Amino acid sequence: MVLSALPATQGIYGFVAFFMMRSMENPAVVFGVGLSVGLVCMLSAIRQGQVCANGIVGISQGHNVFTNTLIYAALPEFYAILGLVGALMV
Amino acid sequence: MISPMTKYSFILLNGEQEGLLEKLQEIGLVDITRSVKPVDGPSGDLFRAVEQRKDLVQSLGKIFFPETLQPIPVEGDLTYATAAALDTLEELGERMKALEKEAAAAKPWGAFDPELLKKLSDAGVPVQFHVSSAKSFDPLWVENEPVQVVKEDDGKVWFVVAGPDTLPDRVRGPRRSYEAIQQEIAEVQAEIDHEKAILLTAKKRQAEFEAESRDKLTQLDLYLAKQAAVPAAENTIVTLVGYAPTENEEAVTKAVEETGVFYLKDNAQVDDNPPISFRNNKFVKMFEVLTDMYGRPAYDGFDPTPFIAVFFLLFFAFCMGDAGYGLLLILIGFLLKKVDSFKGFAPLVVTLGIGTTVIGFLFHTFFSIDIAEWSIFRGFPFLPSKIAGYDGTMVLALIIGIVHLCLAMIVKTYNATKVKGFANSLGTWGWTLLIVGGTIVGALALVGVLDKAATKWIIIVLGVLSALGIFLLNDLHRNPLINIGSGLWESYNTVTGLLGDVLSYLRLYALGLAGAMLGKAFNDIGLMILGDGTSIPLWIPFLLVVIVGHTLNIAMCALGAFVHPLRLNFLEFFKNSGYEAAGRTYNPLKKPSPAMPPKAPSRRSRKLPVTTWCSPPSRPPRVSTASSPSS
Repeated sequence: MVLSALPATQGIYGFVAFFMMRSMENPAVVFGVGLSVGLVCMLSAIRQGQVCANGIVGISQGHNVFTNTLIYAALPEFYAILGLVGALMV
Repeated sequence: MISPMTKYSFILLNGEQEGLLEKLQEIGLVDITRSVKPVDGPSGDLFRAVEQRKDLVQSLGKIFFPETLQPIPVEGDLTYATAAALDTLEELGERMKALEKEAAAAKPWGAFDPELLKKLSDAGVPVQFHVSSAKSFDPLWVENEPVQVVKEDDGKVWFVVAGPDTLPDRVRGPRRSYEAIQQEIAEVQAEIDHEKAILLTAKKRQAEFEAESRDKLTQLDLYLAKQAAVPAAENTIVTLVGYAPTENEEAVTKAVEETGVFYLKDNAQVDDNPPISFRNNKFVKMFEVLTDMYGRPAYDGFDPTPFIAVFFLLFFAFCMGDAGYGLLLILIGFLLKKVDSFKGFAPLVVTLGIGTTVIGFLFHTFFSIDIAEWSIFRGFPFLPSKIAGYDGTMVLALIIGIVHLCLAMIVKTYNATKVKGFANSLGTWGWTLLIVGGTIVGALALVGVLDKAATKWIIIVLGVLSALGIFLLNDLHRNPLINIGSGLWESYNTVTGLLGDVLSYLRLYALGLAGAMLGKAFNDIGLMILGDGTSIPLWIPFLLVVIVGHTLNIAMCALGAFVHPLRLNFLEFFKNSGYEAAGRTYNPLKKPSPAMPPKAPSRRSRKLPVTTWCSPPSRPPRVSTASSPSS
């Protein structure tokens, strides 16, 4: 269940970026930040989901790969974090 | 650090292995070079026996036993009876679920005789069952159609129609009455209780299973060690090779001499590929599990665990960066001590929590609240928010990265000198002098310790000496022109690689910032709900948002804080320090203790045969003056 819920964390990053942009007055900046963060989070979530899906298949086949999958899944998430940090630094 | 190992070569008559190996298993100090996976039929059977008992103990732990249930005596093999009872219980569980579903569907129809319904159907008057909502049920149906309402409840109407009909909401009628199903449920429940009574007997004798599992594991380990014996002289004698830490030489020698077996002992050499045993203090020992995730070093390598202990802790704390989260981790660590399966991780979690608390206070963050503004912390030496015009945490992350990489290069140089000698490691010395020396000189110049002129001359001297090592003396046995070419190629790799490696440490800053901002967002949402705090009912959603939000944040931060510091150590540090995981773990032949749950080889080893690894043929061992002259 943890593996299937993991890609959802990118949604939280997007929400945090939205939350932090509430006080921004320049609409062009808000649009640009929103678009960039949204794209980065979406693409990294897709790839993370693929990693998690492979891990779930491995676990269903009896391989002990939960910990390794969790570690590998955290790597694409890093780019969503970088996107969020970029948004916060604007 | 890596424990020095002593190599023992045993030469004994074929058939005498058992006595020697049992003695070695008793002392639990000697790693006999053997396979860790089953290699043939008998070892596969032993492995499956261990796994079966482990599965039985786990399954017994998951079953609920009513207090009124009494155990019943079991005849024959308890393991077989338990496994059969578990399978039967599973089948009965499925059957019970189906019966309960059938009973729930049949209950509204009350008592009826299925035989009568069948007779009616055979007579051309089939009885149709319908379930409609109260709103869609038309009372005129009762007058105009042969309808009998059976039950009205919960906004639904259950009714039957005698004969063919066109009314809506027809359902499949129950095959038998509720009472008949209840009778079968009672019978199945009695069978379930019987099987559970057998399992309760097994559960009360769980210690027997665990003892049997330990016994089978002991037999398996002994069997694999026996199979590792190399026959010689037309199978009349066999040789075995084992390794033990040199500090245990006295105990091993004494035990072996009691068996009367002829043996030779010598200091283990790199070519022997001996198993690697670490000798670390309690603090560093906690982090050996992380080193084992990458792999143990070669015998002539270095133990990276002390470095991982310090820097993984620092990086983890940096990524979490919140004193409140650190305190929670400490609490979680103490709670983990009470859970058997996680007891081993408790000290590590507490240590990481302490580190996180310290760094969190340095970053003046407590559950994403800036505590620098609190009056009680006025004057506390927090990290400045800006260093040289840039974010303080970002600059600190880069400084930590530079220090980490410089340390890696110093370790590489030290190891290269130890293994290859000073003359053959001048290239490495050149790079370390240039990068580490340059970094130190640059830092001293920045803080004003060195003036401009002194800095200039030191840099020039460092540059010249480094260039000699990098471009001319990197390989003394090679043509200098080839050395220059090799030096240029290495320069390109180092400049691009090192820059990327330093920038990689920015992830510490990114992870810490993301976690802090996420926590702050949840705090802000909670405060928006709470308003001015005067309305008491609003405190409940406020607390809910804050607790759920921070729980989620801790989980996400902890995952990132575990993975990325690990990556920084495994990639950046190991690459720049020249670490290679070429060694194997020290795995002495020993009996599993009752306190230690038996650990069977990996489940992936079900397929047989599996390759057996042994140390490569080594040079003939030197006869020790202390060897037994028995045979």
